[in-house]
Amino acid sequence: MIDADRIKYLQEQIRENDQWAYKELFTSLYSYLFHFARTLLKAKEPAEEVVSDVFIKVWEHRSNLDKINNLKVYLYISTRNCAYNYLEKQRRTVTRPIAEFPEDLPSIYFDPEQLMITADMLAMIQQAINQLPPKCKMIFKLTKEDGLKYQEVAEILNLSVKTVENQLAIALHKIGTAVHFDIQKTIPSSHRQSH
Amino acid sequence: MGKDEKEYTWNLLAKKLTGEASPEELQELAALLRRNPELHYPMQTLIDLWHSGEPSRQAAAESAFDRHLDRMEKLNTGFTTGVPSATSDHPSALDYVPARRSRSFRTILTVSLITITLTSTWLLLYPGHNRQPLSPNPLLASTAPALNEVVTVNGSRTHLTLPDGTKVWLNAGSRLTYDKNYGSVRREINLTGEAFFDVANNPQQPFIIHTPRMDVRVLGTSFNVKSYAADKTTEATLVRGSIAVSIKNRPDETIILKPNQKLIVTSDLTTLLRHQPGQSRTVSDSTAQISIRPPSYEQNTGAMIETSWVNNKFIFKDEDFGSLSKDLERWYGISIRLTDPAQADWRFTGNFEKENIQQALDALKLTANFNYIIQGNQIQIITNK
Repeated sequence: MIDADRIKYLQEQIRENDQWAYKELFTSLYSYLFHFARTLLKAKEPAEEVVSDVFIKVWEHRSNLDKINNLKVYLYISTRNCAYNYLEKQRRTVTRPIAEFPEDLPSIYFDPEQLMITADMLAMIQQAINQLPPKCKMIFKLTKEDGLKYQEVAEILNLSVKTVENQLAIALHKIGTAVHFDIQKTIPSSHRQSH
Repeated sequence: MGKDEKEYTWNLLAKKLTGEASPEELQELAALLRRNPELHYPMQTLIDLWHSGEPSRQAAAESAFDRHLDRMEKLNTGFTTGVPSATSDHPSALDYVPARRSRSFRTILTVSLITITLTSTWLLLYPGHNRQPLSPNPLLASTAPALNEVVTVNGSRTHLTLPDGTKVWLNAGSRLTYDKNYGSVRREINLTGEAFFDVANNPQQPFIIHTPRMDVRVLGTSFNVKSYAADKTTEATLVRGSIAVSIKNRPDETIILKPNQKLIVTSDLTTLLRHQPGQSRTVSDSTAQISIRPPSYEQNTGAMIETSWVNNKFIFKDEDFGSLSKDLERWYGISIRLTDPAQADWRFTGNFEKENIQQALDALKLTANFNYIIQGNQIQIITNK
């Protein structure tokens, strides 16, 4: 994830009409915002459209960019709002609060080579992540994958910082427990095979 | 370990991973792990997991950006039709309306285009340059015997054909030089000012234009180069074909321009002079900002502004008077003196063809509150109080 200072710099450059900076902002944040939008909309094309709309607004209102304190959070919230507007336009009722949308995408990526763990254990971990309650999973994704701070996740999902903190602890606990169980199961069984 | 303590340990681990933990909390976590060794393995696995990288999605983001640009163009955001000023608080500015790019015009564009505006002169920037610096005076120029030189003064334009058949249109106040070996062993020219090129095809010998700030290598078809000493920016615009631009002092960075892209390098003279070769810097380093934009089009006719001078038209769009006055000086062969720094920020859009300088200034007066005094070749701009 692009660091905050770089975003600040790009923000100033875009205000000065720098299309190069605009492109850098877009390409560094696109995949995160796209996955976020796709989670909310459960479809690829409208998600891409929503992110594109958000960035069009950034360009159109670039002279006011200095008024935005945290541009990254602004982009997530705009993506969320745009996605909601899109759903409303589609005359679909939006009844669930945002964090309840299941993060049902294979967007959490692990490299088994980097992790030095068995494929079996990786499967266990993936399963544990997939079984996380939606809010929990969304928070896990936004903090791990998108590198967002508690405060930022709280703003984006309309939750308290305390809730974000607790939910992430729950997520880690559940994944950690899966790892724990895995040791207890696999060590005795490999023991048996070696005899 | 109690349930509460366990929850608390995971909470601390979460804080550690997200960078939210205080030094005290990190110590506390370490103490808890010492007391509960069974947590070591799952927690270490989670730490590894957390930092496990994801594959780069750069290529996907780049192609998404291309589709995004297409949408912006359709929605007429002004992004793809030239960049209007973001600050519209110039009281005398003409209303900027983003031009719709006419399809018919797009299809009749048959040339590649490069516009280069230079930051400073050869001599000042590169005192140790191995080429003999040239004087506009032909007598002085003859001290560099290996060079051919073509010069236009302000207010005049010319065209010529180079030994290999390449056609060149040279705009006002420009100088083009090439050596006696041009066409036999290499095709390299030096340019200050502005020129339009129709390059004879020869894949064995790339056509290279040297300017103080950048080198442009032509990979195919025809194009236009503009290169003036007085301007703050260096620009390269390509309409069709392919060109590679390398910025001076940055041998590792070659920028390949695609059609409908314009490269602008902004840097001020002092930082340019201070810059040491080999010093590492990013493309968007603040001392030399590089941006890529589309070229501009005239609203009514769809004519590309950057090449309009070849057809004896003087077109400008949302241009600040600071740079417009320099264009007027070159076009009419006069000199303009601004008497108030604020005048440089006035912005104009317009189109001159047969007008003389007086008619041109009278037209500009309609949208900005000024008067002018002509004394011989000198024109003073005076803001009306």
